[in-house]
Amino acid sequence: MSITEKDILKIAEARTRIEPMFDTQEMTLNMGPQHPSTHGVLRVVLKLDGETVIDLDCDIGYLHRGVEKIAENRTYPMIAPYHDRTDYIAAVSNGLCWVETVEKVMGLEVPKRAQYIRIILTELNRITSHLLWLGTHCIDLGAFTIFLYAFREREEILKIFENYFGARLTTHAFRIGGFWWDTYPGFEEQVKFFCDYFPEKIKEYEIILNENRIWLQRTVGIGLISPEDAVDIGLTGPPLRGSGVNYDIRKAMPYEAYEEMDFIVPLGKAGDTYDRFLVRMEEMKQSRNIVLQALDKLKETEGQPVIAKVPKVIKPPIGEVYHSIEGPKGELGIFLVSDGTNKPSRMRIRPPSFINLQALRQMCIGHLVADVVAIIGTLDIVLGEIDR
Amino acid sequence: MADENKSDGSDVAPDKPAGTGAPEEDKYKTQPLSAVPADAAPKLPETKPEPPAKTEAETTEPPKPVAEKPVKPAASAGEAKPAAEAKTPGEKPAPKQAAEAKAAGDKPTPTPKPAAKAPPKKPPEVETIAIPDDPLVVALKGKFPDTVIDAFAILKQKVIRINRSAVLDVCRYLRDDSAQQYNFLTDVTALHHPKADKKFEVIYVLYSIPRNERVRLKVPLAEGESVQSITSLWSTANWLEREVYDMFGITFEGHPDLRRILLPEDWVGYPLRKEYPLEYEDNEWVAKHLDIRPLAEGADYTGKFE
Repeated sequence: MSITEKDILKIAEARTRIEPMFDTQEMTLNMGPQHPSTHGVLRVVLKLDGETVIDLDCDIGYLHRGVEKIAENRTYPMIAPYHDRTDYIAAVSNGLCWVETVEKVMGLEVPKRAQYIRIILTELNRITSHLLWLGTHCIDLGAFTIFLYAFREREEILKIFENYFGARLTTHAFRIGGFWWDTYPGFEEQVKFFCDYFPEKIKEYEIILNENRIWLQRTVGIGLISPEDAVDIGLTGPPLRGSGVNYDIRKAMPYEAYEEMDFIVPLGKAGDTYDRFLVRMEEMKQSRNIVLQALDKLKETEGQPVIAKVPKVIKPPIGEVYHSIEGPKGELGIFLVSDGTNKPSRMRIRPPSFINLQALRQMCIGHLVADVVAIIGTLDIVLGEIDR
Repeated sequence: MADENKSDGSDVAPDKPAGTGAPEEDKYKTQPLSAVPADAAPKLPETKPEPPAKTEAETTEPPKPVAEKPVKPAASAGEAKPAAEAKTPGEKPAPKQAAEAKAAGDKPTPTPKPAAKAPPKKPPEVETIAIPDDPLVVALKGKFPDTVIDAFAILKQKVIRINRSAVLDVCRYLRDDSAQQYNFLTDVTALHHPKADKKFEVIYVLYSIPRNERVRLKVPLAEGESVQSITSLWSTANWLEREVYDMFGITFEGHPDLRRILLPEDWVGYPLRKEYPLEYEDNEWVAKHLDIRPLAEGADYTGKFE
């Protein structure tokens, strides 16, 4: 049985049916900073009419650690671990953005072999982040099985990270100019092993979720946002592409060796939670393709250096640059102002989750409280990045 | 390792002069670097004490009499060669003053002679190219005269500095005009330059999705000046401007809800300003909100809770 347009419309319509109200009054409910479904220390103050949300306000800042201020007092290599801890799930991607920004200001050219390794690790990190999104999104909506399945897949990638960087979560993956160490023996086999068994697992998730009646009722028509609204509110990443806007920095302003990689950017149609779910599932498959291509290219660059000629003390020239990458959550950008010393004058992180979270209000109004949980999940926010 | 907060060059590895380190000294590397030879550090010129003074002396020498002895760098280091210097047809016979008069001796105006160390070397700058002829800049200058202060390209990124009075109009034009189509606001942030004339600078990063172009607008502001809010153009500016207000104290006129976003509402101070200390613990705020009371004199530490 396949899902037709009519089914989807019927479900969406059922969602918007309004029941007759009798003598009710508005209630303010606090989804406090401690909540199993708010993906961190996020406080959402809901104004409810019965169970329908009429207004919503987010109170953030519980995890504000002043990373931007600290960065003005640390040297360039010392700042890299701070980026792991902003978006702690996509630590490798964050590290990539930082080293690329510094390399851009310094005018360093990273050797090709290092670029391929970077792509492999970043795309593996994208798969990791999307798997965690899938697991937590499903468990918030009640599907416990997928949570454990997704984390089982993540284990394989985290083992690779642990073998290479020494850490699973906060990896401090990249160095300015490339890598200190080349890949360890067995790296390519491990990555290939993961890529070989991963498609069956994605198929498992799709079999469980894609045409599941409960899943459809909880995600179709929830959190609708039109393409114009999405661009206006500043969404990037899968939430934007779920509404049909084709903006992926890997294609628009390619960095590293993404121009050589052959992949498609999945786009959604309706802009609801179900479409964003499909977009992220497809992105996982595309990431796996990219990893396989990069592995082939890596074999050809056997024995080449993995680090550029980097001075011992990183002192970029006076200048400023805004550089952004396509992280798993959206467009992660860094605006770096350098004043010629070994510490930056200003480092601004453009956090995708912070800007995506702004859309929560307009996505949630009119929905039920339970849908707020689904929408927070579909925006895929990480509080470490929102609060920095 | 030495105090990490001190700002001198050695951050990760202690500075060793190139070429003297034996391989086993770098204990934290398990494999040798593939491509970095031992002397990979850029060769900074040794601090010669007198290169600028020497050239100054040489360029102003032609009008002087020929009896001037040839200038030697060693001599210019400050050690006076009394015989040589005293003979110069100058005005200072004393050998003590000969050193400082050496460069200044024959010139009509005494130039300040630096002491034994070199003048501070200016750090290199990334090349900024002025782009007055760029179509975007030309269009802006035509449509909004007297708003564009200057425009340059740095690392292939366009940066345009505009006046604070025109922010809303320029952004509206950039968003709506069919030739520009900058429909996506990527970021709003600010900079603080304590020593500059206009201390703050609000930065807008705009991006055009159909044309795949990015531009950066900079708006210099003096202390206390505010800038118009662009929330009417892009809803995303709501939280972004709130964060700029929270961290820098720059107010945005016309913002629907300007209050602190990351810090608590009753916080005092704007952290990202340069004069705000890094290790500042707002003890008053914490004590007030977390109800931390100082222990009384002679309090009992044995663990009985009152």
